[in-house]
Amino acid sequence: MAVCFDKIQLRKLAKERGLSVCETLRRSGVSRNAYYNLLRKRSLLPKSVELLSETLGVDSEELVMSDTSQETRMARKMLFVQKLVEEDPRIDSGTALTTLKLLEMTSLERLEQSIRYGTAAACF
Amino acid sequence: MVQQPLVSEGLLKILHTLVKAKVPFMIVGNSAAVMQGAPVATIDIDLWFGDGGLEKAKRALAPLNVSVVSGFGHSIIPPQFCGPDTELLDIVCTAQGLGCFEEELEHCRWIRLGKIKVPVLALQRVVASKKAANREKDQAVIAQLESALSVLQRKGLT
Repeated sequence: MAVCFDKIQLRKLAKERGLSVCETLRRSGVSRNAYYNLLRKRSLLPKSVELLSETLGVDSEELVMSDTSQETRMARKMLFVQKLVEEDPRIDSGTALTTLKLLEMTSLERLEQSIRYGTAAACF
Repeated sequence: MVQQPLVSEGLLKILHTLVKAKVPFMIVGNSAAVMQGAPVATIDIDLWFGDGGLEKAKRALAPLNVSVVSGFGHSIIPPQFCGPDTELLDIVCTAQGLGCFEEELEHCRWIRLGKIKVPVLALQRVVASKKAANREKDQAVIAQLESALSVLQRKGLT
């Protein structure tokens, strides 16, 4: 299942801020076409999501439908890292993404895996 | 073929015995970083002991047939664990760039490893110690540790 844009959440957040969906699009600089693409297409346009979330003052993950599929979880991680790196370009995005994946394991699983890799690398 | 875990039940029992006996110790180095989510490789688990900690550890681990062998005279080699399931354990005598053991223990993180939580040097302190040590192998991982630390801080996990 692909990542879907949550138009209901967008409408809710916009209303909370006294905005219509049209006004939110206008202020974000997101064209109607880009918005309809968000609704129609099965993959998100990250830039549009970012622009909309900035206008509404929320994390871009809040505009992604809550869905526990692998693809959605990965998309959330990628958005999280993208934001982190934009704020601090010194951060290595690969490392940050791998850290998020590792945090889903227990510390024992992480330690086991790390020692396995470390020992294998030391042998070569 | 099923792989035997490298972090064996016997090794976990050693760590849990130290915790139960209230031996002043904590896990430091790359293994500490890994336990907090940093994507680095390690080949051992470094244990830093507070004053009197190693003597207390010897007494606590004796029933497990684990002993500690010290160097001779002014040996540059730190004491070594000896006995079953100790292969991955290393003893750290000094930790550069850190405060005294008691200060660091106060701010350490208690992280579950198996059935019991063990004391682990906080990731930002691991970074500080590696910057102070400034060995070639430390320089290689500092950037990765700092990136991982940023993730943890943003997620409110440290």
